[in-house]
Amino acid sequence: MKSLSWAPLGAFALAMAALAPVAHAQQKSVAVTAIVEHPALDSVRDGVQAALKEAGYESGKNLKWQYQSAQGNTGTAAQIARKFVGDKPDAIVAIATPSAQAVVAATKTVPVVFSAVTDPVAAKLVPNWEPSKTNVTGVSDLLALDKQMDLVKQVVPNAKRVGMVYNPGEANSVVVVKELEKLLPKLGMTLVEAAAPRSVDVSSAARSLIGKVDVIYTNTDNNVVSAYESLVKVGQDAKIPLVASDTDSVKRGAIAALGINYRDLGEQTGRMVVRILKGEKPGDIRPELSTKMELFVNPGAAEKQGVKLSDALIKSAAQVVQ
Amino acid sequence: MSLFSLLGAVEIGLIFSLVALGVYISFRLLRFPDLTVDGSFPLGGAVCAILISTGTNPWLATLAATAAGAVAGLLTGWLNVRLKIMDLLASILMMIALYSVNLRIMGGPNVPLINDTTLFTLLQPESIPDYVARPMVLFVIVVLAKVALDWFFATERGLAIRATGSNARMARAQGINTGAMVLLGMAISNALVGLAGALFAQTQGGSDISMGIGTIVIGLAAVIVGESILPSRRIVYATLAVVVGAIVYRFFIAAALNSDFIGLKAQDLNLVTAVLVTVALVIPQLKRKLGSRKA
Amino acid sequence: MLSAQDLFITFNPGTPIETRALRGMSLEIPAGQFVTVIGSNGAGKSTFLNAISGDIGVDTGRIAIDGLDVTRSPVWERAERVSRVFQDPMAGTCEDLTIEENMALAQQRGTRRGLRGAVKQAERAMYRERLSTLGLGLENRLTDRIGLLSGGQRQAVSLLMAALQPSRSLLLDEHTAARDPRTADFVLQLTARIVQENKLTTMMVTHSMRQALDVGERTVMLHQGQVVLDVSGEERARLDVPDLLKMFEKVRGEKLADDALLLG
Repeated sequence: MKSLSWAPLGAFALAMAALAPVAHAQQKSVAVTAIVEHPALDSVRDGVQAALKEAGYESGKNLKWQYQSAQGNTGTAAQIARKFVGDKPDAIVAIATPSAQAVVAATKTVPVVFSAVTDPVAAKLVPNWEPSKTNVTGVSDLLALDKQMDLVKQVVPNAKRVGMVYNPGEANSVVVVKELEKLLPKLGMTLVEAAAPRSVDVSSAARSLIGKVDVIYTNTDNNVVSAYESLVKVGQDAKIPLVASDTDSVKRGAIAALGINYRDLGEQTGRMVVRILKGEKPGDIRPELSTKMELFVNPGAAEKQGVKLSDALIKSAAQVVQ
Repeated sequence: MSLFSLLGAVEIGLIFSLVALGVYISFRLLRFPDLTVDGSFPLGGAVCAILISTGTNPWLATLAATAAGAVAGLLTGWLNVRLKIMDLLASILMMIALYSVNLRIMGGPNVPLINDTTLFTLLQPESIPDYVARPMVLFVIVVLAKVALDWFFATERGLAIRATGSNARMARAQGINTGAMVLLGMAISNALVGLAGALFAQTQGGSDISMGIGTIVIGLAAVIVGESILPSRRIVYATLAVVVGAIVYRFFIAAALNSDFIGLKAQDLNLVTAVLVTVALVIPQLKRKLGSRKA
Repeated sequence: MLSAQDLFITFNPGTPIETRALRGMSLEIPAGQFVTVIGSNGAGKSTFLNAISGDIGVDTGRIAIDGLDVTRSPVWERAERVSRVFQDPMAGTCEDLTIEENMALAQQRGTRRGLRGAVKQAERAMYRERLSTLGLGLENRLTDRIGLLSGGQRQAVSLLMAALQPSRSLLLDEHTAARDPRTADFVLQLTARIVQENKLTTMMVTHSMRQALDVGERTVMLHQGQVVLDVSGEERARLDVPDLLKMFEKVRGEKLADDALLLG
């Protein structure tokens, strides 16, 4: 049998790993992971870090802070989960459903705080919205859909058919679609879906809705958010009003959004982590919904998409984008 | 690196070694570039997860997932053999189709398995922590799979499959129905990948529509790294090589995750992994060069 | 026995590169006969041989092996009754497999391949014994990859493989063409011995008029997809290469203009 050449390789890799420094005993350590890098998810992470700093925990001084992105790969997310659990941090923050699931599956003891997960109960992270009595709690970005549809009615008062472009492969979006299917008939409206499995499909999905819908509503679907400009183009060309769920999209061309500021969501998450660092058990902390919602409007976009916004709506907005 | 991280790498490496064995059969033995695995890996996960979450016995669920993988491989083979579609293209078609099939099976993009009974909770001994027991169970599964493959490819039928990949024209002249052999080989290959998907879902918290992306790359990397560590054409050593390659590859990723102290950041993970794998491929060449210079 | 009746094969019909390779090709080879087939380039020799083996399908006509109509059967179904040695030894063996594995493949030709071990202990002794008759020392290299052997050695093993199972017919497709004269001679002698020992019905396509007359009992010459000369017995024994040429000119009314055929 030919000689194995993994011996020098193994030695090299082990040496690298062994050289990693050991954490100090008094330091608190927080390990953060997200499934992918993305403006909203990055804002959450920054918010967590800011909240920790405000409570006196600063990286480099009394806090060991580490962040790993799974680069969109579930196998990598699993290995990150293992690594974090092995490092025995005081808390793990898992941003987005796939990362949260990987971490929760990897440990029943290390405190886990999830963030930006739309439906943590359906994702089996927690059994219900009460304190879980397990090692898991967190902050959800679930939007109250009835308020979302109120906004849609305010922007397009006679809307009957609501179109939605979304990635059928993204758990958060599928949850919203299912809820809208139940909700809209009660409001006398119908839902028309258009699937965009990849961000390049957003444009054609939007075009398939032309003539079939009175307004297009979107949630914080990763594909849609990353390709929002192509949605705006269709909205302007075909005069279909666009209502989004995140405030950044209003700057990019949506008429209005009653959205969660993801930086605020991150800070809310961070405050939960602080409670755990101070000794509270995650199982005693109730999972939270986002507390701060902001209304952004864009009258210029409204005009381009064939809609006139009421003055009352514009006055009530937190920010009016020119 | 913590023991947890190390055992995590071994655990995931063992799961992907089943993928590597499957890719070895299609890619090396049959000379069939098979992208179906990007679809049959999540197919196995989906079938297993949905069955377990609706109350089915995990043994049956895992078996069903393996069978589903086999069917996917059969279909790819059928597209190629019967409809005469080029092998790579046939596998891409299946991969694309399986995306929708998997969404249907799961009823959504994701089926979580957090507190459900899995193969691993059933086999969990009292005295050993779960992060040690899981790699042990997987080790037994991988050993059984490897030994079964080694035996099969030394049988008449197994040799016929190898001949089909090595020289189909000659194989036919020896009375081998090469079309049937391609179907059989593809079925076995994707059955292994489906099994891997089922085991992944049971150990990593569920199945997700995106879990298949890049499976072929991981499989090929494992095969290639394995072959550079343990070069041999003999089946017994070749199968060992791809298993070792899969574990070493995941180990490199774990090492890359732990290299933040040299100033590398999260975004650099893929780059670091690529560098480590390149080192793995180059070291045998260097050894040969140094060896011949001394002589 | 091998039987071909009125075979027609046209490649790329209806295009500028249309080639009518076989135009009514008929040949009957009774059991146990050794026939050599010659013809210039494009005469249809290889096409004819591939039609019999099943690698190429015929447009019209009938092919029968041992009385069984195999016109529509695929290669692997015919393989039980007819074995073949390719011109290119690479094409005739599996490079990645060992010598004993290659022989096992040939040994199982015509049987239902199941889950028994492919290379069996008892048969290994037989392979060794057969290989030793070649005098090349290969009997000690059973577990070497066949890709390590030279072309001539592989060709010799291919011949052995062709005779392992009692398939009653043998097709040889210019199987000495790519070898140097000494190796070609060795392979040819081996061929004659094997055919005689196993009483195989044999059809040997060759590019060399010399070879065609030196081995076998009957020589058939093809031209433009048809049989134009068919000599055997007494008449053939008296012939030499120039005589063959004269016969050709008489039949076709034209001179044969293929240098390789004349000089080979």
